[in-house]
This record gives sequence, C-alpha cells and structure tokens, in this order.
Amino acid sequence: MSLLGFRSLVLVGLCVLAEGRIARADIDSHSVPTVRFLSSMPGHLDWRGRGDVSLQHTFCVESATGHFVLDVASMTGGLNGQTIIPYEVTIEINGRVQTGVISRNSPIFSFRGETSRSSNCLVPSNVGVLTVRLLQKDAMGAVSGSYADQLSVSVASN
Amino acid sequence: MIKKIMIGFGAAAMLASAAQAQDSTFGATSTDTVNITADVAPVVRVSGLDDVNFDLNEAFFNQSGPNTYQNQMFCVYSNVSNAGSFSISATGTPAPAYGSNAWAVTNAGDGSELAFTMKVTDSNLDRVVGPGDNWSGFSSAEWNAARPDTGDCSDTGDNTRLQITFSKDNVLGANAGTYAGSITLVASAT
Repeated sequence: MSLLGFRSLVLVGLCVLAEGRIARADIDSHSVPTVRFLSSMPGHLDWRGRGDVSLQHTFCVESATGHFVLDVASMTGGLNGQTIIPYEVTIEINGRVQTGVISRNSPIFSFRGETSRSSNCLVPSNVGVLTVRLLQKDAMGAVSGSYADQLSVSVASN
Repeated sequence: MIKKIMIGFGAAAMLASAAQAQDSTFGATSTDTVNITADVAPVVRVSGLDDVNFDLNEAFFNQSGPNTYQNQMFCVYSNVSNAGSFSISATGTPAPAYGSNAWAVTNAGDGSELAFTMKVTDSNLDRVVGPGDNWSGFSSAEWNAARPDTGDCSDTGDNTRLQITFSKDNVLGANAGTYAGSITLVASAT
C-alpha cells in the first residue's frame, strides 16, 4: 500500500468517526419526545347544578420527528368518589383538536398530533391545551360529593 | 501500517455501535401527570307539575263519597344519595279555619275562600302536606326502582304523585264561582 493510499484510508476512517458522532448527537436530542405540563396547579371542577364545567391545562410537547402520540390515561377511569363519573378530554395542539371520553370502559384516550421539530416550549406549535369537561348529563347521574382523578399524559414518537 | 488502519475503522465501528445503542430509547415515552378534583353540589329539582282544574258540579254533589280528588304525577330529581332522598314542603295560602292542613283557593268574584288539602307520595311514603310541614324521607328512586339521572325524569318516568282533595262539606259551604290559587311545592336536599 502506498503512503497516499494509507492517508486516504485514514481520512475515510475519520469521516466514519465524524458521522458516528453526528448520528449519536442526533439520536440523543431527538429520539425521545417529551411532554410536561406548564402549570403544576391542580384543576378543580365545581358543578353547581347547571351546565357543563371545564378546566384547562397547558402542556408542551417536544418531538424531534414532529409526529407524536399522546396517551391520556386516567388512574380511576373517571372522577372517583361515591360513584365514578365519566368526563370528556379534549386535546388541542398546533391546530388539531380531538375529544374523547374517559370512563371505566375507556380509561385511555389517544391523540396523534404534529408539532414543530424544535425542542422549545416557547414555540406556539409545541404548546397544547388539555381540556377536562364534566358534562351536566354525567354530573346529574352522580351522587353529590367530592371526586378526584389523576391523568397521566405520555408522549411517544409516531 | 495496515494494523493501524484497522484500528481506525474499529474505533469508527465502535462509535457507530454506540449510536445504534441510543436507538434503544427510540419510542420511549415521556410522562407528566395532572390531578383533577371535582365537587358535585347537592341538587334537587321539581318539574312536570301542571295546573289542576276541578269542575265541582252537581255530579260531585250527588256522588256518595265525601271527597273529590285529582292525582298528578310529577318529577323530583335529587342527587343527594343513590336513593335520591328529598324532603317536601309547600307554600301557598293557608286556610287555618278549615284545619291545620288546609290550603285555600280564592273566589275571584267575592274573595271568599274554599279549602283543599294535598298529599304527596313516592309510592312508599305518603304525607299530607300542610302549611308549615316539611316532610323528609322521600326517595326519587322509590317509584320506578331507579333514581332519575336527568332533571326531568325523562329516563325513568315521573316518580312522585300529588293528590289534591276537596271535601264535599267545604264545597257545599262555599259560594258558587271560580276559585283559583297557587301552591308551590319545595323539594329540598336531605
């Protein structure tokens, strides 16, 4: 092998090294989407006998692919108290809106969305709104009292 | 020399492997949680009551019984319990001269009064409701074996009966004419 040939091979090796580093950095920052609520305040629904009541939480999704799936999972399959009350969940992010019902038979609601590929919660397209709505018809079917649930919102790449 | 070259490729291969190892986290989820609480206030609602009209004519005077009455079914919604418990009271024009349970309708012509009484039942509990009474223990689930989950009993059907009674004695003692009055039934959470 000539000296020139040896240099060429070394250069190729370095290129592979460089590509390996780029690939590694890309995977670290982009492969795992993240979700977090922007407020830690618990939400309270106060039904006083008329109409629907709702609350909203804002959240941020960071997804390098721009495509994600949100799973909204209820701990108890509804608002848990003397009975279990179903309620509506609406996810709105980046112009896409989808509503589902959380109940004992359907404790998980899935949402497929798209967002900016930027990992930045200041980008409006990365910020969504989770609306929880207790409908009058469901509240009227319940016994009066206090109820609670915990929603876990998970995000995965789509 | 060749050995060194191989080492160079080997390092690149190792780094590539490390990059692929990062792929194992691809598709992993990130999770956050939010707590939700709700209060459902105790609510009671009366609905479905209509006006009641009596034609107290000679047929009534000639009948053998001492009274005439009309029944009317209506709806009481209560979310206080699974039994839908509630209490009943009423407001209107008392007619104490005719008894502690008597209410009055008034003659539009001369202002005289004609007394009547009323009862409320959920099919199990049956109470004469007079001025000042407040009877507890009624259940909105009793009549249909299920509590209404709608405010107007559209799911179960009416569940409470109102009975209004005129006695022949009182009617015979009243002036002819048209009498009118109003009673407000009040259901309360108990």
